Amino acid sequence: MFTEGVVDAAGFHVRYLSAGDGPAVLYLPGAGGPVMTYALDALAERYRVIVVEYPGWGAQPNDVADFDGLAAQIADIATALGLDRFHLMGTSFGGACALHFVAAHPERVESLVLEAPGKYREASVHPSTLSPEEFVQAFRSHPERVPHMSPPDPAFMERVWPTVERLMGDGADDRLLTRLADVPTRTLILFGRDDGIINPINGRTLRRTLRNSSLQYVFDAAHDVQSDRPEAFVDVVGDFLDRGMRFLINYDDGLINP
Amino acid sequence: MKIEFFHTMNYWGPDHGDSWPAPPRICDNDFVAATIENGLVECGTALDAGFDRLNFAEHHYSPKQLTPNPIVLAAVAGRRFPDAQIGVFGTDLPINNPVRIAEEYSMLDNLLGGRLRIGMLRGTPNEYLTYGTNPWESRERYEEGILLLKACFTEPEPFGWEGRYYRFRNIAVWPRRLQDPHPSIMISGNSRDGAVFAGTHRLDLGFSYIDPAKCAEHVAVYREAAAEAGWEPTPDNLQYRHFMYVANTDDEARETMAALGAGGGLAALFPGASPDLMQTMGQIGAALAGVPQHVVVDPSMAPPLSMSPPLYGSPDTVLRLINDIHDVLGMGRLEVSLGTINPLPHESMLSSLKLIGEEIVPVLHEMGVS
Repeated sequence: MFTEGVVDAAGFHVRYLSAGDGPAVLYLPGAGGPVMTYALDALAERYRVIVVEYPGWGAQPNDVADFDGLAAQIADIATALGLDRFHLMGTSFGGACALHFVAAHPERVESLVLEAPGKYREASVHPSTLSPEEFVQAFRSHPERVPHMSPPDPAFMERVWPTVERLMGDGADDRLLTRLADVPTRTLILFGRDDGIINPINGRTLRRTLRNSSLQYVFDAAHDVQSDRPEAFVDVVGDFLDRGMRFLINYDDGLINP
Repeated sequence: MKIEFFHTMNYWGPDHGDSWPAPPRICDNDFVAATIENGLVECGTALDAGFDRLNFAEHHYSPKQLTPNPIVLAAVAGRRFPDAQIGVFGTDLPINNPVRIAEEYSMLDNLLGGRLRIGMLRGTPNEYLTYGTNPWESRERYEEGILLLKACFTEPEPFGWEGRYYRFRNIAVWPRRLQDPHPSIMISGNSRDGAVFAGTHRLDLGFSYIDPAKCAEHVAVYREAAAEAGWEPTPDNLQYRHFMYVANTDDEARETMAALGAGGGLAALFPGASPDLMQTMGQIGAALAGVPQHVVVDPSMAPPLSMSPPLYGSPDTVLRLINDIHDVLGMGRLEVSLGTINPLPHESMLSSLKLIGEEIVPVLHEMGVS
């Protein structure tokens, strides 16, 4: 059961949600802010999952100039939460932020999980160009599954989206790629095969750049992998967090009968 | 003694990557075509030089061997060289479907008119990241899979298999294998367990790269197990595999191999791998060796991979090395791949094959003949 807390860091009152015991997983959600999912609940059965609301997503405005600045704020928040070294997981916008974080602080990241990271966006779709129906389809292969997909709140979008646009820039950040090439952190790159927002081909760029990484496609899932295929998401992410790169090994018992 | 030519179809392209799996984007299909065509020319040269068999093997996701399914290449080579004996040593059985493998080999046996010998191996640790096989089940799957394979070859009526790891309720392999009861099956004797299993089940025994003295210990238990099963292996049941390169002088051979990046073994696939990936490989290697699943392996504590010295040198030197191995093992078949784990230039391959044909093959064909 996730409970809400507030921590003062980087000049903000930062809201967060946390649940579970065990090794810490700091979760950076998508641009829409924290959304509770079955997948997060399931991970919290094995890990201490902390979902951060970005500074500026609440009442206080955030005029941070770029992702490096936001990543620095996240670093302060992690410190204020008592986290020294931890697993870092980011979704979409949060995946982009997580990439900047690990480039700046690889020593703090035990392992990195990127769900449909939004940093590199070749052949991708800008959500603002989509009709409400297209928007839902681009995000979810299974909008009927919990949590039900609903278009974002216009008031929230008006307040937050300019910050999102400013940070996302054009996405083609070769300088970041150069920095990431030196990052030793083991990384799981996860894309829904039917992602209608960030084209999954962008996973290749990260797989090629991050030397200690694995690219995994989730069948029958769109941008919001953890809501479309929560059991599959928890299996692959949980195995990766539990075992590191040994998650590539099949540990399943194949014995039919003794 | 017979000498067999193991062609690895080592990719000729300049970029082999620096880890495993190698990314498909670095694969240039023009180089693939050249690798296979020149490789077949080299196979023909080996046959002209007197080699007794052309052999291929299964490896995955790597430019070091372009034969994820060696049965395909065996069929091509067998049709191109209609008098050649063909070997596939071998198939990584635990990662495959044994019934499918039986079907493919039965078809191949017919295509080749019975010129086929086959080998069933467990595969190197990386192969267990190919089709998602649990490596802790490797040995049990392997042994059950071999017995299932033999049943697929020999059962005359449709049948089912209610195994520990395999369940097939309906099996009837067509075309039926040509050789009776089936093409001879070799398994690896690098482990003692493998040697006992081979003896018990009338299988050939093969060794690859390891110290002949260690092999000899396993040959002894192989013979004991065979005797208990009521049969006696001959030299033809024993094969030893190693790298070979023969030049006019020792210095020339040594220099050519040094320029090629001499050395072999699994480590050559992973020069740029992350410590995480190496730990993963170490974990699988330990699983294959019988270390329980709950033991997390520290690769730095693993014993070093020990490969006996490869067969490099002048004809006299190489013959002396082979004679030493033969004295210890008494094998009837020597299988060699030329060079190292890196691709040997075509011209070097051809010239060495011709020299082997002139200076080595005639002597080997007399070796062990009383």
